[in-house]
Amino acid sequence: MDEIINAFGIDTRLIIIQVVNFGILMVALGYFLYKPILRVLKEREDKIAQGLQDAEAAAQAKAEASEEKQSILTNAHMEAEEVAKRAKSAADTIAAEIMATAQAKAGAVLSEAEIKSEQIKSAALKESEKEIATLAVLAAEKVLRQQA
Amino acid sequence: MVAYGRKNELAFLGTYFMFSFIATAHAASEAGIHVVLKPYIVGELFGVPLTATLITTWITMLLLIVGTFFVSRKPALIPTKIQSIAEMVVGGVYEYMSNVLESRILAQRYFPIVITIFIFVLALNWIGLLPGVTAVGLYHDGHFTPLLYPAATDLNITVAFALIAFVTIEVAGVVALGTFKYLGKFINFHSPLAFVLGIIELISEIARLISFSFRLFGNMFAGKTLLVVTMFFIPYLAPVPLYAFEVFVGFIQAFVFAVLTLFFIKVAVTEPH
Repeated sequence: MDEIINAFGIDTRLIIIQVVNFGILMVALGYFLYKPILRVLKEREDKIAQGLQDAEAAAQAKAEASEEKQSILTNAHMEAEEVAKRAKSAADTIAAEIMATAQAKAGAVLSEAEIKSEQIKSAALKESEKEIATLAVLAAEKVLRQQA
Repeated sequence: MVAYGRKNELAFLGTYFMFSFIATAHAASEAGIHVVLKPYIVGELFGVPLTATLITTWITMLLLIVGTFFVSRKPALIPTKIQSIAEMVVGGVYEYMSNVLESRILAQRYFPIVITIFIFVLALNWIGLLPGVTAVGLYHDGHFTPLLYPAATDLNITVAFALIAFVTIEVAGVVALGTFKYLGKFINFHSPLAFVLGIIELISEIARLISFSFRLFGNMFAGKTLLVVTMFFIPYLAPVPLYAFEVFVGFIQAFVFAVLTLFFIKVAVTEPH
């Protein structure tokens, strides 16, 4: 055993120093390498998870917004249609009314004109009767005068 | 006269070559290939021998501490390239340990030891391969003593690593199962077969100290020796593929050391059946 220890230059103190070296390095690397790196890896993981969550929330909000937009559009369409329908029916009613009044007016005008024309006709007839009578009397007078 | 002169000349040349050959051979035995199992002792510090491998270890530690101080002490959320590498190593080892141990708590507990073994051994192996590591040194009465030498070629250092791994494994077993249950893995009287198997387990458990330390020592020492021999005989080009191979071996040995520690921790914390 002594020979082996001698051949390899084994020295317990050197082994202890090396174990202490290991301890020092482990503590130092723990402070400068392992802890900070593991911490930053964890931070990054958290951040990515947060980012994914945010993205999901945003996507959901977007979907909701688009759904709302669709419903608003549909509503507006329906309302517009109804308004147009109502307007059309109102317009139809008014047009019918106007037509009716116009027809009535036209009828009235026509009948009045007929009456007037009848009156004028009869007046003209009467006038002409009177004139014819006068003319006849005059003619008779003329004839009588010549005979006389 | 001329002929004599030429003959003389030839004789002179002959002796010259002969002597120069002897001189080279002499140099080879003296300063050329010099392989010893012991670490080089450079001096003494507080009564403790100061070895070249110990100096190399301290320089390696200094480089690692200063390097990580500047690279990863305050990591950014958006990483730089070097920080990405640090994240890959640290995060990768952590994930791997969590998977193997099947527990975040256990992974967190033994993570610093396992990853420090990996990083420390890897750094020691790779820094040991840097040119100049064996070349810088002192002359003592005509003997050359390098100041820097690949650390894992010193059994003191690999034994220290093996002890750390061994103690970690046993402590992990005791903490996870309790002293009596853990001891019961090795010494039990359920049946004669169980008793024999337990004793075999105990022997293989203790043999790990030797296998851990000598695996690393043997690989790195053999690699260093191979490089030294090759560089002595064929200094140009031939060592290049060997250098590449030693870079690979340096990584593999660090990896194997850390992964075996991890696996044995897993074995130790597993309930006996």
